[in-house]
Amino acid sequence: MEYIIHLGIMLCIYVVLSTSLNLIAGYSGLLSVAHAAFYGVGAYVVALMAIHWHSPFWLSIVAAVAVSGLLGGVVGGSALRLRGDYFVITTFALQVVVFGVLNNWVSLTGGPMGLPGIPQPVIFGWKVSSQGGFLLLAGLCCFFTLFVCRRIVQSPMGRVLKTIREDEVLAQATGKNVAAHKMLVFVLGAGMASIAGAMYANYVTFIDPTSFTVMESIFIISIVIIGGAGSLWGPVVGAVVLVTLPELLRFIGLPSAVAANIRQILYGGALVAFMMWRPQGLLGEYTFEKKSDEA
Amino acid sequence: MTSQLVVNVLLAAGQLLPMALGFALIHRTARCLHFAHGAMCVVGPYLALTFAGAVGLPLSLAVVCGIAAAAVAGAGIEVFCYRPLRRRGNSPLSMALVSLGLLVAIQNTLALVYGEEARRLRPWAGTPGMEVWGARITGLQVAAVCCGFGCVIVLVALERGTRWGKTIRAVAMNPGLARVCGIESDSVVLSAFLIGSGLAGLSGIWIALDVDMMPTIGLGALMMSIFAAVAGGHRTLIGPAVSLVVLMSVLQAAGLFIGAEWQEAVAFTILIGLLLLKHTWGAETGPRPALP
Repeated sequence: MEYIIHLGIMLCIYVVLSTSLNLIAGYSGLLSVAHAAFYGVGAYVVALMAIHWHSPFWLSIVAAVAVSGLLGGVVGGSALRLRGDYFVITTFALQVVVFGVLNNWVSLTGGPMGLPGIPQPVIFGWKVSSQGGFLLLAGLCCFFTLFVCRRIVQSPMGRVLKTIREDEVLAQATGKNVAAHKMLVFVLGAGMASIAGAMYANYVTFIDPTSFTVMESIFIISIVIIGGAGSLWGPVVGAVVLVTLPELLRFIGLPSAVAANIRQILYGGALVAFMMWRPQGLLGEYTFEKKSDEA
Repeated sequence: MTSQLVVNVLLAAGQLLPMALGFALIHRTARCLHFAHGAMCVVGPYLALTFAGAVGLPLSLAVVCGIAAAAVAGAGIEVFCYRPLRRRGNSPLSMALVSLGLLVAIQNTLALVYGEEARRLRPWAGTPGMEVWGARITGLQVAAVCCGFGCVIVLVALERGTRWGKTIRAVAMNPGLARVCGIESDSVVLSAFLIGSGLAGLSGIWIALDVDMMPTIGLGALMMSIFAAVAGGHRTLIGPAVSLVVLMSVLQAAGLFIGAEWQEAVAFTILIGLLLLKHTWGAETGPRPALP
């Protein structure tokens, strides 16, 4: 039962991550390979505030969202100038830089040794210490993220984002502020990813940079693609498929090291297979099939 | 210390130049972000290890077979993955996504088959090397440097002086017009993948012969190749080569003053700044039209 609850918590974390990336990549068409960086920054901000300043959980979350959002704004700003391959390379580079900082700034982040002993959160007197409590907290965060995303997508902003995705020139021609929308979507997406980071840090009580590498970004992208980019429930389905199904490998007696490699092979293979034969994913509407926007 | 710094720059550049040139060749010709190029860097040495060990070939022949295997693997990716996407009219972003998936899948397949621990390709133990003007370098490292810079000379000569080079440049500059002139872009792109992936395998083999190999060595080399291709531009192969040498110089200096662990972060901060500056200067920072 504990294992199933653990799976549920991780599922909620990845739903938050993939939903936030879906806002950026699926609805806006901006392929970012830096999402694990926002995730990691959120986790480290919460961990550092909790360990060094014993700050309340709500304050740590606000700080994490602010810092990640700021970083997201920087990335969004670069999206104003760079398109296609060059934008992907920029996000890739940012991911590497953030990992480098997390891994090498030993005095702040603990470097490769990470940050142990992250205290469990206390929310208005309720100490979240049991797995059931974390599942409830993670579920609430997941629901909040989906709710916010749904409101955004169904709002005029959501329609502008889709227009930017389909034809940026048309969006500009109709008088929409493309630059502001791109910045804003990155700020929102990064902020939401930091919430996942906060949950992760408080749940596992130990974080290190290896949880926030470019491979993690690729995994989050896989969830969005396989579930369906541009669909609200696509990331949820994608997270269920990619987070829970590989756990079945545990039950066939494979050593954990081998199972880890096989899991990665399945992720990579599934990403390739879906892009080749079902680019819209299981539930999505956007396929990245349009020729590169020559704007 | 200065002479050791120079030797380190030459060595690092020499080992990575083939891979960087291969990436630049593929990127400018096929117009796709081929992240799986990092996996080709690892396929070469691991298959060379198999040819030398399980098959029993002499090391020199095993190395050639490893390079050929990497070339064939890269060509296979182009034929079975990228070409169908291109024919469907998919954007380069979808090919970038496929290449990310391939990178993860191939890297982990090699880890599954060969293990995550470091493996040695050379059958002999490491040597202290010789002293040249106060710096230490081994014979193998000298060979890597000569090979790397030799690849630059050979590729630039091929690009400038052969019919193949002309078709590569034509497709890279204007694929539509190249097709009108009777150049079949599919075969040109295939040749770019064959040569580019083989060069990646060659880089991987030099790295493996020098410092042993792990399934993850390709990612760092890929990052440097991306930097070189972006900074050097896609009009000529000399640009990426020069960019890589400059990058290695900066990184070695950074390693000296800041610490070697910060090299990648420094390199990519420079890359981000460079991309944003290129945009400011009016250089092309958007997608080029996809291949027809």
